[in-house]
Amino acid sequence: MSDHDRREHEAHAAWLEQVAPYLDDELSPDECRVMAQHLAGCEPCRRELARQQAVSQRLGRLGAAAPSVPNSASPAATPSVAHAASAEAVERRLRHRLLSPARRRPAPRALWGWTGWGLAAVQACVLAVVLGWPSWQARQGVPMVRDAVADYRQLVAGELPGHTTRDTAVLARTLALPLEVIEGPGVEFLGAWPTALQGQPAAALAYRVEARTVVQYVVSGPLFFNRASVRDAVAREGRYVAHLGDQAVVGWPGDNAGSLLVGELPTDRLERLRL
Amino acid sequence: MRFLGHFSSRERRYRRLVQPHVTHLVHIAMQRTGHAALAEDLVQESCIMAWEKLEELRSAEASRAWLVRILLRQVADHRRTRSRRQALLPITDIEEAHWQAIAGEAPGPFEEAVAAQSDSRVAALLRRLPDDFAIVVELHDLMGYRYREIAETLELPLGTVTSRLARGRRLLAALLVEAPEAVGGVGTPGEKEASHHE
Repeated sequence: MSDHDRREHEAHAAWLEQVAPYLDDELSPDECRVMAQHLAGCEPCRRELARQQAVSQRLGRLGAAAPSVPNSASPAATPSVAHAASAEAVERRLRHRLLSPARRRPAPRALWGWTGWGLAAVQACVLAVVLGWPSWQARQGVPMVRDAVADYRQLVAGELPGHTTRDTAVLARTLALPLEVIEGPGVEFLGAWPTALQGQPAAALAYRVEARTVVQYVVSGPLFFNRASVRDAVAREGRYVAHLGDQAVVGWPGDNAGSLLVGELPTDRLERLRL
Repeated sequence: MRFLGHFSSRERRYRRLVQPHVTHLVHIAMQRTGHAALAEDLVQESCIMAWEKLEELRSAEASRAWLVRILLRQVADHRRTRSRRQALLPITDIEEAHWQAIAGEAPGPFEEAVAAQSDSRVAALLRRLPDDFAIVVELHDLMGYRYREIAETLELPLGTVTSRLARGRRLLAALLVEAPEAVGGVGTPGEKEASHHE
């Protein structure tokens, strides 16, 4: 290239630098219009454009053609398929190195793991207490009923208390409990007296039924309904039934009170008594 | 702790920001190295580096460019330390010949010669270009990046991208129309000055 040509070329360099952006649609509309006008009258820039375009188009075909690189996944595969296959191979290896338990930067799982197990154990204990307490209580029975049966057993082992009365009205007023004597065929009222169940005042009314002693314990409403098992039974069936050893117990609610009939008779016989 | 499909936040972040771009990384690595197994190794190392530096990535939009930069550093490191040095090209002479050609040649023969080249030869010659030029040409002409995307990915000024793309095509054009035996002899180390300037 002569000096004249070189000077001309350098003066023309700014236009040549615009050829590639013009070809690649990277110029603004105004720049594009100016460049198109220049190209119309400039043979070297048109040749530069033709060369850039020829190379770009040839590379574009390369990008869309089958992979020309050696060791590709499949010689007949398209680039996207081959690249996807290679990407899958990379992913498989990465899963082992990064996403497996033996990855490079393991999470501080030990502390949290033990903390988690500890919390789980505490929760299990709380649940066991919360859920197990009612069933344990149920197995232990209703304290009011236990007291009544214990009192009944002492009574049948000895004699009736000396301070019995047949005037239940006075006793009812004294204890502030509604007392209603059971009457019926084969039922003999023996007498009544004050007693206590669970430390609360109660009335005991003794009967002779079929040569056996049956005692009716009348307690206040709050004491009678103190336990969920009694409340549930009364709500479901209208009465509470239990067995402690040889003794049967039938309970039913009254006017702000409750009665427990205890005796060594079948429960259905005790139930018929109260009717 | 992984439990019934539960992943750590790092794993979720990795799956969202890195995994979708692995195929694209493979594409670039294949083009840069010309060797599938090597490309996979380089992508794998790039993904591991991305995993370890995941906190540096601030937005999903920037993830592809960030990953490409990591990959290109891996490719450059590999070339520096383990592979043969890239054969040096007499860039100044090639460009001089180019300017002479466009000043005097008739249109037609060059385009026909370029179109007639086999894919394997085009790919091999593309890998002979200096990395700075080749990656810009590959991202634009093979992978469809726009100038601004290349500038963001490589963290270069837009003017540098424009210049490198044009010069990279010119160099490749010169190599493509050389006779095969001449191409093989061009640019052997020590033959000519290989420096290039923006």
